[in-house]
Amino acid sequence: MANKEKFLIDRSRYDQADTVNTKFIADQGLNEKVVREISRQKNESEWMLKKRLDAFALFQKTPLPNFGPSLEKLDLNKIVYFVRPNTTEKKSWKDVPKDIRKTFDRLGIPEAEKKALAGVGAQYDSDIVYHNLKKEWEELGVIFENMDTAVQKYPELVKRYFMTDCIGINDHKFVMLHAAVWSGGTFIYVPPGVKVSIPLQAYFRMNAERGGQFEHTLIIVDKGAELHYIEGCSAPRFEASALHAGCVELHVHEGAKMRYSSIENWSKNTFNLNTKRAVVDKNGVIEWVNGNLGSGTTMLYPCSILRGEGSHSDSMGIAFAGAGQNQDTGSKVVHIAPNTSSTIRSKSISKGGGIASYRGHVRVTPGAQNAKVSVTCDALLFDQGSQSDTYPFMKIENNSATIAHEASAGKISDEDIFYLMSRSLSSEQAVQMIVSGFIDPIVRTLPLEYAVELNKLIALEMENSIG
Amino acid sequence: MIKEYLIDNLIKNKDFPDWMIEGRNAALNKLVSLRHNTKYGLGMYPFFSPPDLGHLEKDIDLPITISAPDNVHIVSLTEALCIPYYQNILKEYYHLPFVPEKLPSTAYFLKAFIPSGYIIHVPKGFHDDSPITIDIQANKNLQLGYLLILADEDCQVSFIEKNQNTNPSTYLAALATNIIAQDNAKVEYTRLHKSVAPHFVLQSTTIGNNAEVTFLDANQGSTLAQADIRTTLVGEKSRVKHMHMIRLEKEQKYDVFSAIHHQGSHSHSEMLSKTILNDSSHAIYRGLTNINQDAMDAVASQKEDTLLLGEKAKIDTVPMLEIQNDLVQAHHSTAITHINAEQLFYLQSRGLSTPESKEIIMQGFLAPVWERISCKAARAILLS
Repeated sequence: MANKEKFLIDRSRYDQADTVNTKFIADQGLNEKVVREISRQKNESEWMLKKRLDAFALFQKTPLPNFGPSLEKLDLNKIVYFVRPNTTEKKSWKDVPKDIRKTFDRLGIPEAEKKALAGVGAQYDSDIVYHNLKKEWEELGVIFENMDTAVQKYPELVKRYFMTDCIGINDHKFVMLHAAVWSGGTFIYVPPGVKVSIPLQAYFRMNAERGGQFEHTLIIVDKGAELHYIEGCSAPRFEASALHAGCVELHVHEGAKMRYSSIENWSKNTFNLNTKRAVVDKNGVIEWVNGNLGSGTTMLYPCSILRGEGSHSDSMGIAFAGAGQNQDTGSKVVHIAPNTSSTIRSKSISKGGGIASYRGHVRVTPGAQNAKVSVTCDALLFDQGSQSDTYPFMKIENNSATIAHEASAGKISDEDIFYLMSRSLSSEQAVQMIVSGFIDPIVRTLPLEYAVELNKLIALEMENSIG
Repeated sequence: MIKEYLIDNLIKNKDFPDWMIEGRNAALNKLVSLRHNTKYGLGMYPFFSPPDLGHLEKDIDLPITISAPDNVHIVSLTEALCIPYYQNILKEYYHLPFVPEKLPSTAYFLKAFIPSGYIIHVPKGFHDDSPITIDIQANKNLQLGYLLILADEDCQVSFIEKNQNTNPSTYLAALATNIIAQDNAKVEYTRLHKSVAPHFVLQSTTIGNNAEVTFLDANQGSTLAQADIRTTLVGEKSRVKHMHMIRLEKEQKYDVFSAIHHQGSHSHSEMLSKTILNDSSHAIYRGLTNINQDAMDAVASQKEDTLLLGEKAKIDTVPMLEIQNDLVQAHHSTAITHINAEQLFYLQSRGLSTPESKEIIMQGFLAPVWERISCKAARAILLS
């Protein structure tokens, strides 16, 4: 009974505004001066500054991608690339778009959380939120830290893994940009043999650099360890900035298991150009669970590099494209070592003129003996004007591989709707039930509160009561 | 220098109409503007590059021999341009796929420099079980040709095209083909190629109301080949089958783009590809099914299967779907594997040698393709 107090969260503590210390907001646009200033303000070591500058030099001479949705409307010169922590902008609740406020109400998001998500309330201090949990992890040797803090506290560990052999700074234009201006994010290290039983979450990790759009997540799961990490939430994030170019690097060492769940629901004015990749060593397992609901344009292709013998990747994703949205998502797997396997399951829903595209890449290199791959893509189109595209690239260079891919696209069968209506459901309820069943394989892998929220949000989109 | 060649050899000496010259110039400009070959994405590069334009010879007509019954009209391209009926048809279809469309650079080269060709006009109501045969035998360094096949209303006809160039010094043999199946026509077209010379095919098919085209592309071991094959289902209830039977060995290479565009309502398409790759052979297969927003109740399927037998054999495959209408059924599937050990053992245990057993399994693997061909003569060639 004495411990019960631990589990009651006093939410009123979140309603206090943070003290403003110094204020710094960079000018719009990017130049070397901004990059150096970011590094200076963070008090970074020389190696990090050099990485930023090298990346910036590459960014300047690299063109935009020549595939996927149009990025014409993305004006990189109008983005503010750095806002110092604890800087408050004069923003009020009434500036938040009506559809976002309505969604919060319908999802039952508590008052304080609404404001944090909308960027109008106080930033949460993660120390308050995770204080009790942190002690348990520390006893296990788990490090769960803000990325900026980790660079200072664990320099050797970070230097070894930060944008080295997982995502190099020269990967593509938006990785180059990210490497130059990254700020904030999450660093997790799980020592050998430690199995973290509860999912770690970054829901409240917004207290640090207000570079939510260039946050860097670096997770290392050492030999034989296990971790489930959840990022994001299904409630919409409102950002005035139009670009989200984050990076997620996962290192899954020998015999380790990692599940990375991410629900992204950026506001519809956002370009979501995230890069996510995992390198998996011998007998390691990586599981991706992705839900892409918001943003106007998304280009997101979580990638697994199976470089250790016997390693495995499992990727599940749901993408919802409503009016004005273009969700260009997919999965990539590269089989390098022998006896590796991967599965990809992708589901998409297009409604109200939305465009949902699956863009995948499976590569089996000459050394990947006995690779086994299974890819399944299903698309639901709700109405005329909506679009679904599938572009699965497969490059197979080893004759012992076994590869299977299948995809289907269509609308909800009238017979299925009739069946449910004949059991006294309304047509809307019937559609919602069928859609819930359609996305169930992904939803069931999420913790309960995420699953409930995700189902609710999809249901709201079906009702067309948002936006 | 290139433009002078085009003007001197192809335009001054032959009476090409203005619309054709305009199209050729547009293709030439596109070719020149392409600084490098098309990249298909994610590390896939086509094997072909267009010939060095400084090596064009004066006579580059591709020898095409056509055998057909008397009531089938065979007209040379030059003659057809003087006949208003055929000129109108050429004007509508000659530049399909349209020059601005994203084509391989060799396609622009072909469209700019085609010197000659034929129109094969199958008349209304034509019905004959014997196929029309088209033999292509390149015998010079560079040869280009053109075929327009006009299957008139209500006809039922089959074609067998054979390209079996054995001249290893041929630089490039290329053929552009337009197939037009008018209302209620039924066309079966089998292309067989086993050429030691690099060859390129650009094919565009247009299918009218209730018409049906069954197309089989059988690569029986060409050294280096590329094909760009596109069909538009324009008419209501139009139907097409695109089939590919590819069997490569040694260091043979094949790059094929097979696309079907649904425009008419209740249209139906089936794409089926079976590929066997031995030794160090390499195939790039890109299949595209596009259903546009007007194609209500369209039904489309794609199936691509590959047997990778050679240790260094490679397959790049991209089965694509672009769906812009919710009232459709579309699906595709791809499987890449090797010979099933249990099946092999089963046959060996019945006294067959390993090569014999493998051959039977491979024939069984390919059977779903040739079984869809009704022309007996074509089947006989495929099975031989």
